[in-house]
Amino acid sequence: MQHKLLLAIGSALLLIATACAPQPTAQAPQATSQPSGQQQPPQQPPPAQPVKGGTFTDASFADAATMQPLLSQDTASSSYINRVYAGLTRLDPKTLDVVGDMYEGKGELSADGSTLTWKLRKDLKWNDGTPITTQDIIFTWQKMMDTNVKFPYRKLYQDAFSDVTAPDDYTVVYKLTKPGFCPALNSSGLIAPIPKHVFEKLDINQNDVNNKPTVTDGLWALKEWAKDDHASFNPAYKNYVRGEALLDTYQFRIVKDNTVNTQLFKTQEVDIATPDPVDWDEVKSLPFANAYTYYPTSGASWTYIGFNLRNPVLGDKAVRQAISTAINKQQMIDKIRQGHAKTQFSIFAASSWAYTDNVPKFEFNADKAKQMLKDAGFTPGSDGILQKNGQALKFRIHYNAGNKQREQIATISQQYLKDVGIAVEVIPEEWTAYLKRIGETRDFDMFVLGWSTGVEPNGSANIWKSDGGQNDPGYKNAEVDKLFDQAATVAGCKQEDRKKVYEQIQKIIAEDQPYVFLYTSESLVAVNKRIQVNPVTPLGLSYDLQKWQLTQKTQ
Amino acid sequence: MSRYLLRRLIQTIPILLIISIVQFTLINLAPGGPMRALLQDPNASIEDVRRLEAQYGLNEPLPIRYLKWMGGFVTGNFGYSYFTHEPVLRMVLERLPATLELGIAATLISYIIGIPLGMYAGLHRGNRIDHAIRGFTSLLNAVPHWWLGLLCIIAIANIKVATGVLILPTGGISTLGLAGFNPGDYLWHLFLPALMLGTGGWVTFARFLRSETLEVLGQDYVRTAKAKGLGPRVVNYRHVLHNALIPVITLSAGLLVGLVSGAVLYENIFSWPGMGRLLFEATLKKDYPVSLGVGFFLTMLAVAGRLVSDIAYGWVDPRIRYD
Repeated sequence: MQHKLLLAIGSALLLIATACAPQPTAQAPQATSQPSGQQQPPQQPPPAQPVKGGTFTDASFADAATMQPLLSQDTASSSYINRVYAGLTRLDPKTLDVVGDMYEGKGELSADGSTLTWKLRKDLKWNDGTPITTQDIIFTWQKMMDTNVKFPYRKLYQDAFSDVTAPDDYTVVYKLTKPGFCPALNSSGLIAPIPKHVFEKLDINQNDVNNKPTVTDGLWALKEWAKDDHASFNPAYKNYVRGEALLDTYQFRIVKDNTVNTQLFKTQEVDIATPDPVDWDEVKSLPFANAYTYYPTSGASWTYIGFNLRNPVLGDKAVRQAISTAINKQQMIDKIRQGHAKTQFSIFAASSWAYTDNVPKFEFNADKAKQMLKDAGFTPGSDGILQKNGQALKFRIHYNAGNKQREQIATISQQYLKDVGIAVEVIPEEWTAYLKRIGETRDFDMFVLGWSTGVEPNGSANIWKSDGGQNDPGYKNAEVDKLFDQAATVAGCKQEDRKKVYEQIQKIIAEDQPYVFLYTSESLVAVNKRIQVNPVTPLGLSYDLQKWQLTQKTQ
Repeated sequence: MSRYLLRRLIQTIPILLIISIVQFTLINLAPGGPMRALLQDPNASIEDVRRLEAQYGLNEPLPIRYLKWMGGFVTGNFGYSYFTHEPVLRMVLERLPATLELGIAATLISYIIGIPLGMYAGLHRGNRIDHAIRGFTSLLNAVPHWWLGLLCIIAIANIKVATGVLILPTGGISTLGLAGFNPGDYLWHLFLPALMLGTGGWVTFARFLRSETLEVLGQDYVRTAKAKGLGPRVVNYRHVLHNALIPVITLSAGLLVGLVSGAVLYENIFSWPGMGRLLFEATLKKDYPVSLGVGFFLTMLAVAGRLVSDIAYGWVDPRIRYD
């Protein structure tokens, strides 16, 4: 009797689970071609006519903290904000030049380089019909500079611009702090303007409009936001600067675990996945997946091992060069990234326009590394560890706990360094404590970390200039300091002219090896074939979202 | 009874105070801090850090900060998140229903599966099904259930790829795009996370109830009941189950604590938008007001669970008297 009771309970639970399953609302079209994982992404045949309607479900590792552009300081918030607010400028997907978005054409640098002038388009309106004028831009700038507003990037903007003025409703003049400062072109359009008539009477830090913006000018409007679960956006505004959205709905599902995200892609509960390299072969072979592999210029991700040059032993360039030579970077790429990365020898991601690999390279050669250490005066001690003047080559290498790739880098490096007579202790640490150690207390010998870099190379000046806030190794080179200033103020700001200066910087720093430069990661993205996305460019796929559409009409 | 209840309620005050002090101290003294995440300027000076610390009140001595936090807490002001700038109380209340629903569903599953299994195994000691139940529960005891949850998600995804049938959703609280609240869809999404979160509970109940049943079966009053000629159903349900279940009530309070702490793991794996997920994020970012607010709310839930179980204990067992 009890046995039957148990069976009944079990059956009832299963029935509840399956009977409650909702019917799918839309059928995905059949796959038209086999997936591919080649370097060049597959080109889908574009629909004969633009297909209107349909939903795209994105997956986000975190929910947005805010939808107020002046308070945003995380990637997820930026993603939401970019959906609902238009940008002043954008990067040309092909040339990577800064061009106008709400602004027209290109910014004009005055002859003496002291001001940058942009013209605002005259046909722009907020979605409540109010014209967008420079008053909105000046209001936004004033709030950015208001110390009562918790705007996290104030000092960065103060470093670039001493003032922003508007001679008329459609002209904006940025006064540059440093004459001829090329990165100012990029900085001038980074923060989306907010509607003055909505926010002028509100406390920007805390108000009910921040996270329920109704007066916007972006491609999408917020339809629904269930915190930590999902956010949905509907097409907002057919007068959006780049045209009307073809999709009906763009929605984010919050999935914090990448393994789970991959499974959600497999079940087609989300339309996009960025699988771990170990899962890539499986994902790209799914019949409904289009696989894209590329090296982005914007958001390029690269990994390194940093040295503490304040340590007298690691302050010796020969020791750093020997350590770099002792570590097999290609094997790391093969084992950790399953080949989905490029070795990097310089301070820029291999995909950056400023990158050159015409620099001193310290490729793996254990025998050469031993010889280099011998030449530097190190001899084996009784325990086999190299030493000089009683100082053994024993170091700590830190990484942030939970990051599997960095853990593998630390342990593989430990083995390689042991092979040449260097003892390394591997130490995991909680993320914020780790950042404090690296960035504030500087109590480390070596550390594993990575950078995600933008298109503008001057962003690296903070890392390499002697007084740079992110110069964790304590690298000091007066010539590099001078060259960074020179590269940022090249007359005319042309990429090819600036690149020549950045090449000199790369050669000097590669020779000095304050980092063991490891690799630039390849982006691995799978998109459901029912969605036609843009061709891959150095900006990746997520530009011109108004052009994304279904590959065929579905009901 | 009312005097007992009042006394227990008063006793919870120092308990909560002590826990709040421990939580506050641990959270604030943990290495790292929110400054790195809050200060986006790479060239920020020490003065910039100090200014920001003062803006967030982090430059004051720990006891003063605690008193301010507690003062705000008793007046219903849990503070504001460093990152979202939202009131912590609102953030907690937004996520509380999801955590409670998951917890209640997991509790029900624990009872619905654990009690019949334990009872059956105890009443049929030594037969094949008893052996199977013991083996299965021992195995589940040895496996981390969150990992099992991850395996289930992978299995469901592979079944979907192979057959085109989605047996259960692999994450989230509802199917995106469905208009309005759909109870069927909600239960469909709730099932797997609740089953996984409840697994620890029903395994414990099954094992515990089996041994309790065996012990009660050996009692004189059961022998007497059988000798009086009562049928096995009456003996089993009225005498055996009733008495074997009493200690389960004590276990239930522990189960609630387990469910609350388990929420942190399971809500992350199953993309469930509850308080556990909020606590996890806040702890990683060192968002002190949110960590403290959620942590203390979960503590209150656990303490309330203990109180309810103590009261229920006396209600079920007439030998217990409240003085």
